[in-house]
Amino acid sequence: MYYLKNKTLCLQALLPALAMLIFYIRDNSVATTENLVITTAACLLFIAVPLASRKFIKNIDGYILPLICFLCSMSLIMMLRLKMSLFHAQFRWIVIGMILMFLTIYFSEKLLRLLDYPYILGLCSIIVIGSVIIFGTEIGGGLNWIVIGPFQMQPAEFSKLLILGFLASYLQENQNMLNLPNRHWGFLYLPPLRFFAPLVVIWGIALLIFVYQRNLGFALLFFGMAMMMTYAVTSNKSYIFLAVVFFIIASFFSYMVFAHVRVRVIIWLNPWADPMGQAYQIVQSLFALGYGGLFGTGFFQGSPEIIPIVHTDFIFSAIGEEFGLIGVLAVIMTYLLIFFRSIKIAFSCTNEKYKLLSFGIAGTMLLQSFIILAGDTKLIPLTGITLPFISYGGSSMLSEFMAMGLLLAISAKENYRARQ
Amino acid sequence: MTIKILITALEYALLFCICAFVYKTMRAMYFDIREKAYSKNEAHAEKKVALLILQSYDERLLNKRILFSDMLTLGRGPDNDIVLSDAYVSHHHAVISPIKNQYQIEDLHSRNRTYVNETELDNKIFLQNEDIIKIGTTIFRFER
Repeated sequence: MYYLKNKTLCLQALLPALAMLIFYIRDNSVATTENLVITTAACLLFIAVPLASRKFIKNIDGYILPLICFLCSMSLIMMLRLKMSLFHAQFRWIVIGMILMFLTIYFSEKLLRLLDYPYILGLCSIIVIGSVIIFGTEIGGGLNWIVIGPFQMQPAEFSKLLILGFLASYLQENQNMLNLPNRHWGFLYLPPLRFFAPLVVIWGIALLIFVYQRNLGFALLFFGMAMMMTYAVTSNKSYIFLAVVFFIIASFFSYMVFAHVRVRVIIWLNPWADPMGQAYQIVQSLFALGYGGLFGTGFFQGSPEIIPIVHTDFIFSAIGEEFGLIGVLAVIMTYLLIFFRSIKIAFSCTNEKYKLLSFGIAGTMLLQSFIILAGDTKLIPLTGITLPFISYGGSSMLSEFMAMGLLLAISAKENYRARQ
Repeated sequence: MTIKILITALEYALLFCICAFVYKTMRAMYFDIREKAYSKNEAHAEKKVALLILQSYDERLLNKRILFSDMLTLGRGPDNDIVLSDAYVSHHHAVISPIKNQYQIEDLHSRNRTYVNETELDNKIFLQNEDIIKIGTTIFRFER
């Protein structure tokens, strides 16, 4: 393998150590036993996990895990810089996530068998999303959280996986029906309504619940996911056209009805109308990115902490300020490389459901990072959603790791089959 | 002062680490893919092409598939790879030879000519999948 020869494997693990060293030189009091232990553990973990996975899981994809470790170490050093207490918490979530990922790989046979029951997956996802309405607590203007003892979790993150499984298995089973256009409405070629009714119903309910919870980011993500997967299965542009029409109508409707959507759009159109009030966050984010320039201000030299909730939604701006355009490009490149490897896995699959599922996982990750990056840089109106593997957040970390676990399990399986 | 220089140096080291990681990973992936692509090419060259006999003077030869990967000679003479003991076939009638990824058929100035897709073969031509080759009374289909 090339990457072992070139010693790349150590580089992602060097980041936390270097960051800790910089922090220590600036402020001696930071060198408590706890911090040092966590930093050492993080370094070892980021080396050990890719190595161990290659050693113990046969035929696994060798590049995805180091890339994920790189993103996690970026996340850790940004937490270290932004909020010390979150550094510990984030490390804990990463460890739990990695354990969960290996468990997912271990039990993948059983989990992937669930793909034979699309409606169960669909109903489960609705129940998971809907549970928030009953048990949820409102935090930060959106009803997305369930509080159990000391933990808060966002069930929507986990429903993402369920709905991906539903879409993959449903679309694959009805692939021929959906590809059978026997209704012509003008230039649209559509199958009879009854074939895509279950899809529309389950997906529509999910979307409505998100709108009710004011979780616009997830509504957008789910919409994109369904459109992407349907097009991937049918390669029928009529679906894209319908989706775009629906999107325009729905966004216009929500703009008229919901005050918070209107506020977001107004901020997006002209943040300078109210830079110290409602648009404070996005304006500070733009300042941070601009101040970073090409090489960034340097670690600990910028002041990204003045952006409100910088550790989840706006972590990208913090990276942009401290590491500049180069750091930002590195992060975006890493997402693209993960996407590239995942698509390679998807192409090699012979089982159509696995193929769709791995494409869905990869596409969702990329779409999610696009939505939040575009929101941070004011390309589209901001919708609060986490940046995969970098933002602080237990639920998002765990669900991303589980998705990657499924992807890696599929890759191991397909490679094994190919070698036979 | 020294501390300041040290910190700046470390900051650049951090940035360098990030860039180096992405660069090295991309490089490794590139070489990995290139290696795989080349090994696949070789595998492709090894992969055999076939001539399927559609029509022949001899009933027993019908629907036989002849697999080959390097040069193949056709004719009446016993030293050919495929011997067609048919009065309309010359001793050394035609030859199919691999050139890079393609296969080329060449007529060896035979008396009754070689026909590819119903047209008379003028010296040589590259074969495509499903090409129909007629030599004497025998008709082959080229498959790859």
